[in-house]
Amino acid sequence: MPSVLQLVFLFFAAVTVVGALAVVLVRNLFHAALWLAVTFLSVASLFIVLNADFVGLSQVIVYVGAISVLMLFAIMLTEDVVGARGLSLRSAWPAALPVAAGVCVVLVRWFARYAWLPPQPPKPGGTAGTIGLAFIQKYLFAFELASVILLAALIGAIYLAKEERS
Amino acid sequence: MLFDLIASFIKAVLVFAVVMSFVPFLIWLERKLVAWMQQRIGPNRTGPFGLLQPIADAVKLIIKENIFPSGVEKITYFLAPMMSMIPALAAFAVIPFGSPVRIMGRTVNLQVADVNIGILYILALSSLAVYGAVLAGWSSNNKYSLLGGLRTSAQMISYELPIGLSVVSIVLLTGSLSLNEVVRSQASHGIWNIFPQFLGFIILLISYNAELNRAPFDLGEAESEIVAGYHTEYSGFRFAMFYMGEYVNMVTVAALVTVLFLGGWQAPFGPEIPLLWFLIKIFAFILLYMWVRATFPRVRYDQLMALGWKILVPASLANLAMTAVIIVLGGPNAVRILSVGSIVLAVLVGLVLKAAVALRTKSAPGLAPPAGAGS
Repeated sequence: MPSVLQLVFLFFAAVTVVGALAVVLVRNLFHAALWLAVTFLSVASLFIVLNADFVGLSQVIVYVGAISVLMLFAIMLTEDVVGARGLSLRSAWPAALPVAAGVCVVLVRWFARYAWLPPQPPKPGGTAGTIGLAFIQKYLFAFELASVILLAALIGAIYLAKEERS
Repeated sequence: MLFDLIASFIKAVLVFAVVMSFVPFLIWLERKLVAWMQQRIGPNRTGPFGLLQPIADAVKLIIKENIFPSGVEKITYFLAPMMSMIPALAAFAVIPFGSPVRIMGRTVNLQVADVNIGILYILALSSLAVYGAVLAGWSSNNKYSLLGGLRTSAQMISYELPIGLSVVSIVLLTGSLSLNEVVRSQASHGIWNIFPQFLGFIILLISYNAELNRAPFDLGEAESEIVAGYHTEYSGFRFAMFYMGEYVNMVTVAALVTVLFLGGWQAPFGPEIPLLWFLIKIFAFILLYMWVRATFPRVRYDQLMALGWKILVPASLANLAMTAVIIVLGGPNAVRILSVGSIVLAVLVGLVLKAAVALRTKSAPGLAPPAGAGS
């Protein structure tokens, strides 16, 4: 008999998988982006079920609240996203299948190399402080590298937008 | 365990009922206040002082036929009003509205859920609120709706940035992401956050006005340009949900600003009466927002974006940097130094703004205001 928490986990895991499938199978690009938001939301719920509250809520803020909305914004600005001319994986599935299968095998083998811990009890003060300290102590280099890359992307975006105007 | 469960349930129902019953009163108040400010009379036919007008409107909207206009995408059209109302209501769950009270020998927090990352939770939910406008704009099969949805989504994403950055400064001052802890730290500092975070307060006030899509930032539903924006095609109860969502959002934002900057439920003087001071502060904010709405003309879209990205984001970054440096170097006096520094920084930002506006009007005389139209 699985516990309530396990059932909740399974529910959100199922929603994640269904949402991800819908993203690639739905013909309407706008609906695909909405399904992507659903997938992100249920991944965030999975994090929260696993007591990773900070990661879960950051996932909502960044992926659901910003990235998906930007995609929807771009799609709303684009003509002809509904209809038959919309790009769909349905025509390309023979090529996509082996690639997806390969990625799946690599990921599963990779994950199998780790010993998985049983669910940890929630930390009394939440996880935010620990994560913050890890960013500026143990993983400082990776953190700074990521911010430099993001800055470069930002400058690139500004440059491209400027080019367009003149 | 059972006691906690029942207490949470009662608190959730009570908070829901109280917030929802604010809505008709606020609608009446806003119509009346704006009418007075515009030298009109406002609603005065239904009940004393027109007090029953929102009830009459609500009854009318609820019993109205539910219409799906032709060509709408039914599921997204159906979901949109919910998505604009639910996040606002759910965000209220983590707002502490009083110091813990003792009932039947147990301590009960006056807060539906004491989440230790309540601030992040609120930011996450307010970032979900944009979906109401996006879904409505897309599904209505109407170009004005689409334009409204586009405008609103870009606007809300842009203004979430200064909101997040100013809230981070509060987190630096508090050292915790829990809203209860924010109130407690203001008590232990002996000074409300509005003083050490004066600039952050101004930024948050402006940004939340934009996040709420209220005048002068109501470009997503600008009636003189795009009919009613993303809710053009809605009528009946679904329209009412958009309308209620706006006011619920206003209450939630007022409560959040109260907790973050005005010491939450604490009394500025005199004895601490439960809920009284919290309600007074919330209403002060709501009245301020109504006053702003009646005072300022709607901004142009490029002005809105320029204000957000060129002024509010840099200003909130400067505020964040100053807060971090002073907290590290100031030691025990940090809060006092910040109270001075924050006002100095706010004045500086104001001066830079004034200089920039003067420069722009000088370089493009066609845009200059006509003579005598203020300084």
